Amino acid sequence: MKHINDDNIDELMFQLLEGEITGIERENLLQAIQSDSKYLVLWNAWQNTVLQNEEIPFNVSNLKRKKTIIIPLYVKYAAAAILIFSVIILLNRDNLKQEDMVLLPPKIKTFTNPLPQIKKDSVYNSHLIRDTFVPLKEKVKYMAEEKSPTLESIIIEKNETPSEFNIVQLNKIDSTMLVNKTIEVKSLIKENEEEIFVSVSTEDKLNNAKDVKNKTNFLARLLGKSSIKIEPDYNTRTKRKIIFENKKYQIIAGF
Amino acid sequence: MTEKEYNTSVDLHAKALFRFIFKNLNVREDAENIVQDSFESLWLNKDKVEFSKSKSWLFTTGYRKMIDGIRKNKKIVEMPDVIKDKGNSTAQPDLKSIVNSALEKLPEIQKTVIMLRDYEGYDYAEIGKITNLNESQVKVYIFRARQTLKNYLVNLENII
Repeated sequence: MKHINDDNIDELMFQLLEGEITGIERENLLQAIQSDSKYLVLWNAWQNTVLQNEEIPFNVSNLKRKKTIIIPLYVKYAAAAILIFSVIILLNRDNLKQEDMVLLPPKIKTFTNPLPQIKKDSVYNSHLIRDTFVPLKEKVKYMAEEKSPTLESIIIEKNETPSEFNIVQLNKIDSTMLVNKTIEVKSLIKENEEEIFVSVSTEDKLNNAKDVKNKTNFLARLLGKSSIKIEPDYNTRTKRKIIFENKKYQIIAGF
Repeated sequence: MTEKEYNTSVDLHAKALFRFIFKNLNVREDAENIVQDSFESLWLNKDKVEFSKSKSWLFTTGYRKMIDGIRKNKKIVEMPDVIKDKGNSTAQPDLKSIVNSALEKLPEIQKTVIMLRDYEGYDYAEIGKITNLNESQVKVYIFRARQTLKNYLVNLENII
């Protein structure tokens, strides 16, 4: 072990501080320093030469790199193509729906309270049947307010009780007749010996129904019954061009 | 080095590098510029620099840029002298301020090596790489720096 003295004190303390003296040698040296107050002051001063950690505020966010996403060129073209195809498929689907539309005959409205089955022997006996029977005035009023055509016209002559003979089914109208003709359904109702005429015109509704068939929107006309073709075109990058066409229009897309 | 590793390097080393440069220059704006330049340089050389060596690379680059800046501009500003002010002030300066004040009086190279040693925990060889010195030179500079600080502190204690 080196003997500590005024000549080597700085060197030994520096080595001690830097961790170059270890083990028993270190312990002996520390003991020697502790035993001499002059050396102890010096050793404290040496220990204070070690710089203490110090935080200085500094914003590091500006130094960081932001994430960059590089999209290859072909991805853009693929995305554009997918978008175009999606739009065309959607429009065509819409168009098909309109073409497939079939004109159905107007739905026959029925009363919520159906007419009861009238039996010959029960006509005069059953008061219940009379009670459940929809009053004639209400029925007529309902038909007039709704303005809905019924295929059945009912003429009921006012008697004391309804019978199977005073319910007359005038005709059953074919749906083709509805398209081609304007039908007036008239109900003749006699009540208290006064005649009541109810007239329901179906003309407007039928005309509207015809119009629906002919009515197609602009895009449907533009893209309706279109076909898609891919043909070579050496002026484009992909050397292909896509042609969408129908009878009236032709759209050419090249990438 | 990947982008993620680069950003990790920023998190790990930017503040330390800034402290090292700022303590040497004492001009915040210049220190910020040097740190910025150092990281920009790291990004440009990200393919050559391994992540594990990024700290050493940053300090080497930062140190060289700092020396270049000092030589060009001579912008080192004297820190306020705590010792001079001591007689006029009733409050006792704390030890940290006294050491910092003493640190400012050290020659540039001694200040650099002792900061790399104490703040960053580099060994002599690593400090030698950064400052372009050999290990013996580094050790001598550190010894002289500590001895100067020690004498400063001992003298101060005698005055007090």
